[in-house]
Amino acid sequence: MKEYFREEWVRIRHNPLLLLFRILFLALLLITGYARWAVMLGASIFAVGLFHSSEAEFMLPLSEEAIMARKRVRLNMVALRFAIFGLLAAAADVFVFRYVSVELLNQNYLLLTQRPLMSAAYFVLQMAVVYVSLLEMMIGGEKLKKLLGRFGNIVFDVIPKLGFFIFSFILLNEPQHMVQTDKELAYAALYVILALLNLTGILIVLKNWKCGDFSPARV
Amino acid sequence: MEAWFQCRQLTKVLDGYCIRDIDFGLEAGRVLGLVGTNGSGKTTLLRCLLGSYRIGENEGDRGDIELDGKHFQRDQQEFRQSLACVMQAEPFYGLMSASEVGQRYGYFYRGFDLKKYMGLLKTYEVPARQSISTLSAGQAMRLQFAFMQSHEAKLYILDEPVGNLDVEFRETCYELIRELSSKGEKAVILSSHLVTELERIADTLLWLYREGDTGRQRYFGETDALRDRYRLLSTDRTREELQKSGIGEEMIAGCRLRPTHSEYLLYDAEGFSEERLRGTELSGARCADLQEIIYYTEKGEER
Repeated sequence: MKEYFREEWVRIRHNPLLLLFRILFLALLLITGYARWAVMLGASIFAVGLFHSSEAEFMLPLSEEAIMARKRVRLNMVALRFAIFGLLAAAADVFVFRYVSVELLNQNYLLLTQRPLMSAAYFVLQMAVVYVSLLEMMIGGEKLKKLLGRFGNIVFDVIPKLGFFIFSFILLNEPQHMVQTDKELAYAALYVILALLNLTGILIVLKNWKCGDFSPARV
Repeated sequence: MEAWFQCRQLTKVLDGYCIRDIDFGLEAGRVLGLVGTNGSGKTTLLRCLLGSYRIGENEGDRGDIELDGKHFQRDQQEFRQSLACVMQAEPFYGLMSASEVGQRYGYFYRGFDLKKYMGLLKTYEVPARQSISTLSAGQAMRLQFAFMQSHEAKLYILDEPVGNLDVEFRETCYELIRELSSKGEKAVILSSHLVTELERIADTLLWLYREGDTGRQRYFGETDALRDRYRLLSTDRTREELQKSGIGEEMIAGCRLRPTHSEYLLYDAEGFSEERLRGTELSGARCADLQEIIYYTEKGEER
C-alpha cells in the first residue's frame, strides 16, 4: 500500500496543473453546496495512474507473486475507488439532508426539479461510466479500449469530467425550488442503483484482496 | 558445456499462434542477431525472455531459460535484474511522462541512476514532462534507450530498435551495442529487419521462420558459417539444365526465374569451399549476403 501511494504522489507531483484544476473545481462545488459532487471529485484527486496494465509492469524484476499482487491491487483500487465514491457521496447526502437546510439540499436536487432531461441524461452517463469501469475490471483495460474504440474511449474519459464542469456553472444561477417528494424518491431510487454497483465493487475487493506489503525489498 | 545464456526448447502457445522448440545459447561479449520474416516469432520470443509472456500459463508451454546461472522462473527477480530492453512497441504506460517512468520504474532496478537517466533524456532530446503517448516514435524509442542505459544489466534485448531512428541516432545505437558487447560480461540480442546493418554487428545469428501458425527455428550459429553454406548463381540456364549438370534440386534453396536470366540460391549444409567449387558448374557462384539468403529462402521460387 505504501508503494501505491508513493507512486501516486510521484504522479500527482508531475501534474501540478491537473491537481490545481481539480482542487479549484472542488472548492467551487463545495461553495455552491454540491456536497455530493464535491466529495466524489475529492476522492478522484487520487489520480488513476496505477489503473493500467502496461507491458512494463509484467517485466519488472519482482517475484511472480509481487507482480500479480500489483495487478490485483490495481484492479481492486478501481473497485475500491468507486466504492468509496458511493459511500462518501451517500454520507454527504445524508449529512446535507439531516443537518443542512432543505433549500441547500434542493440545490443538489435541482438537476431533477429544473432540468429533468439533462439530469436524466447525466445520471445515465454516470452509471454508464460505472458500468464501463466494472467491465474494465473484468476484461482488462486493453481489451476494453479495443471494444470501445477511439471515440468510445474519449466519450467515457472526457465527457463525464466535462459534464461536471458544465452542470455546475449552468446550475449556479438557478432559482431555488421546493423539494417535491416524488422527485426526491426518484432520485433516491437512482442513487440506490448506483450504491448497489458500488457495493459490487466492495465485494470484488473483499474477494480478491490477498496481498499486503509488496515492496520489492520484501519479495 | 552450457552457454552463459541458454534458451532450451522454448515453446510458447498463444491464441492462434505459437513458437516451437527454440533452442540457442549465447556467450558473454557476443551479439546475437535475430532475423526472420514478419510473423516468424521474433517479438514473441523476446517477450518470453523478458517475462511479459509467461511460460507455463498455457497448455503446451515449455522450455528453460538461464542467464549466468540464474533460472528465469526459480530466480525470477535476479534474472530480470540482469535484463534491459528496448521494445518495438512502447512498454510504458502512455499517460506517464519520461521523468515519471524513471521515477516509478527505475525504483525497481538495483543501481538505477536517475540522474544519468535524466541526463540521457536531455542528450537524446526527449521531453521529460510530456506524456509518452504524445512523443514521436523516435523519441519514445530514445526514451527506452535512456532507461536501458541507466541501470546495470547483463543481457540487453533490443527488438527492432532502429526502425524509427534517424541515421545519426542509428549509428549511436550500433556504437552502443559494440561498446556493451566489448565489455566481456555483457551480451546483446538484437532483432532487426535491416539485415545488411545487422550483418555488420552480429557475430551469431538466430533465424526464425513461419510455418503456418507456428514460428520455428531455421538456423542458429555463427553468421560467417551461415554465409558459407550458401552461394548465389546467376545463369541463363533453366532449373532442369542445372539438374543435368549436377546441381540437384535439394541444393536449390530459392530462385528468381526470368525468361533470359535467373538467379539461384544454392545451399550445402557442409558449406561451399573454394576447392569444391573450382572447375565445377558452381565456380561462377558468388557469396550471398544475409539479406539475399533470407530473401531467396523465404521466397522460394519467384517468377
